[in-house]
Order: sequence, then C-alpha cells, then structure tokens
Amino acid sequence: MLEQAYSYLYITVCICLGIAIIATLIRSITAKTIIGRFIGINMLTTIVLAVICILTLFLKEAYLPDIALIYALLSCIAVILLSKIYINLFKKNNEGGKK
Amino acid sequence: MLVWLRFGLVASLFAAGLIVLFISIFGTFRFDFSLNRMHSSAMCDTLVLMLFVVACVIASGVNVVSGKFILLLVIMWFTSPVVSHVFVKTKYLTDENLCEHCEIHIDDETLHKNEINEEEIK
Repeated sequence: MLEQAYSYLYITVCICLGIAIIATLIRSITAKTIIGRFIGINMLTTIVLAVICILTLFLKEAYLPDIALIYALLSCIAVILLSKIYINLFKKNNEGGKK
Repeated sequence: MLVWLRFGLVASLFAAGLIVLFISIFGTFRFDFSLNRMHSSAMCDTLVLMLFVVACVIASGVNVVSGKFILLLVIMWFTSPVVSHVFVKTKYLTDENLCEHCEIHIDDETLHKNEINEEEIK
C-alpha cells in the first residue's frame, strides 16, 4: 500500500516536472537574447537534476545520483564556456565593425 | 502511522518544490529584462532543488544515496552563484543598452567600454 502510494507520488511529480521542462524549453527557444537562452538552459538542467533524484527513488538505482553529480558539474562548465565564447565572439565582431 | 507521516512530509515537500518551480517558471515568462529573469531562475537553482533533495533524503532514509543527494545539493549551491555571476558578466560586457534598464555608475560605464575595446580583444 505504502509502496504504491510512493509510486503514484513519484509518477505525479515526474509528470509535473515534465510539464515544467517543456515550459522552460519553450521559454529558452523563444528568448530574444542569448542570455535569456542561457538562463533557460541552466534552469532546464536543474529540473532534470530533480527528475534524476526522483528516478533514483522510483527505480531504486543507487548509481543515478552519480550521474546527476557529473551532469551538474558538466552543466556548470558548459554554461561558463558558452558565455566566454559568446563574449569573445561579440568583441571580435565589435572590433571588426569598427575597423 | 509514522511511515504515513513520513509520506505526508515527503509529499508536502514535493508539492512545495513544484509550487516554487512553477512560480519560478512564471517569473521567467513574466519578466522582460534578463537580470530579472535570472533572479527567478536562481530561485529554481537553490530553493526548488533543496526542497526536492530534502524530500528525496527523507524518503530514502539514512544511507549512501542520501549522502549523494546532499552532495549534489552542495555542488549545486556552489556552482549556481558562479553561473549567475558569469551570466551577469556576459550581460554587462555584451549589452550596449544596459544603461536603459538599470543605473550604472559613470566610472563603471567607462570601464565597461574600455574593457570591450581594449582588454578583452587579445
């Protein structure tokens, strides 16, 4: 009985998180600026981390939090690198326009 | 009885996390300026993840998986401010109309222009 209640709870929360992921994805796609898109992607990562946490309990797999840890670190590094690349591109374009 | 109490606690923490998450998503749709949007996004990074992780820890009990959940939360709490700082820096360096949205001190503005023109183009 209790196991079933937990299963229903996890499924319900995962469905709500799925809706949140779709909404964030839409926001990320329709954002006008590149920063808006970065923010959307970063938020998406957090929601996926929450989904992984719930899946750990739902599937009873102890290795999934390790994947979540690596995913969190990779996401942080990726966003920082993307920002650096964008800043450099912007400045090179600025310099090219002025020349 | 105690297990059902624990289930209720877990369910209410998940519900609180979902409520804050949807408020956060509403904020990203509602605000036009990127830095305002970042505020609501940071709420998702910290509070929502904390509520979900605490719920998962309570549901899981005291074991290795709970430790991993807490480690995940700690890592996110360390990396999220760094990412926010990088976003603000990107906005500051690349948005030429930033002064229309928020007040920037004249020295900072000069520094901003100098940084764009001289220091970073190497």
